[in-house]
Amino acid sequence: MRLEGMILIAAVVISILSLALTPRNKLLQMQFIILFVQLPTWLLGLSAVELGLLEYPYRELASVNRTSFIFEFIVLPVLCVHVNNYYPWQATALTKAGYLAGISLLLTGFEVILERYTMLIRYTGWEWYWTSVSVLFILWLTQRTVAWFFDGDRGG
Amino acid sequence: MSREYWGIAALTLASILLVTVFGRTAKPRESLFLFIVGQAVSWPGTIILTFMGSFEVPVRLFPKATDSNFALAFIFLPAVYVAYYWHFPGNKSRILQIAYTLAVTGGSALAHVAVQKYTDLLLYIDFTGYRLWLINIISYYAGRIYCDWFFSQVAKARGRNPR
Repeated sequence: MRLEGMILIAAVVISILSLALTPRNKLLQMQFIILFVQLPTWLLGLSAVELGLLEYPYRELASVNRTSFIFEFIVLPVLCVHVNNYYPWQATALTKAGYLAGISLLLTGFEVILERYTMLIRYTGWEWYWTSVSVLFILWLTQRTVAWFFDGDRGG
Repeated sequence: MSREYWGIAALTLASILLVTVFGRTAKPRESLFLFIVGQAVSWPGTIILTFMGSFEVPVRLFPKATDSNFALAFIFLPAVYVAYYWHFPGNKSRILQIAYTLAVTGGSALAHVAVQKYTDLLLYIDFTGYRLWLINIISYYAGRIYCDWFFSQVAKARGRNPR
């Protein structure tokens, strides 16, 4: 099997297994996040591909879907679950911003490596910092929405 | 503007009406949850059915990025589910509940069939309205059980840590 296929399968398996690490008191938030994150990611993901900024040359459901089904539906939602599990609700706004920015930069690093060395993703007008900004936006939006949904609005 | 764009506009308008006028704007959290539960069924379901060749979508939103029907599966069908849940006659007789479910799921299947019949937004290859009706009945039933459970759990968790 090609490297790309192995990476995709590993991403799915690791993502799903890692959900077992969710603490018991966050299980409701986990379900909410997994369902919620697909809403903004599909809008952004479809828009980016539609505008010709990104390509996913090696992908699942290739004939009908030119975005990354696994990334939008599994990897990013699960990442958001883990981000929420360790989110420093009591910390200062600066710490929260730093936490989210750090994670989005880490993810960007992974993506840049995948972009350079595999056929999983190709930038055709996209830049790495757009990934950082859009992932940061999704992480922030998710935390805001979780706060709003579960506690009324206490501020993300 | 072609008939297809009117179709997309009508579906969008109908969706907005379904979540506002026929939904419950006083319960935005629960409505959002119902919408994303509906989406979690209809959007990947549509992508997989399109992949299997059940239908084609000649005119669509995001034509380069996807071959699936965004307006129907990402917006309209979840909006129907939101309205369905809010008006479900939970304290009425079982017969009425079944009749209500058959009517709403049948109505949304009928809208799907009308879109396929009168516009180029959808083209059934190996699919029928009856099949969608069946999928709707099963997924609405399962979705309602799940959402009832989820809302009761959230209410319990709120009770433990009141705002």
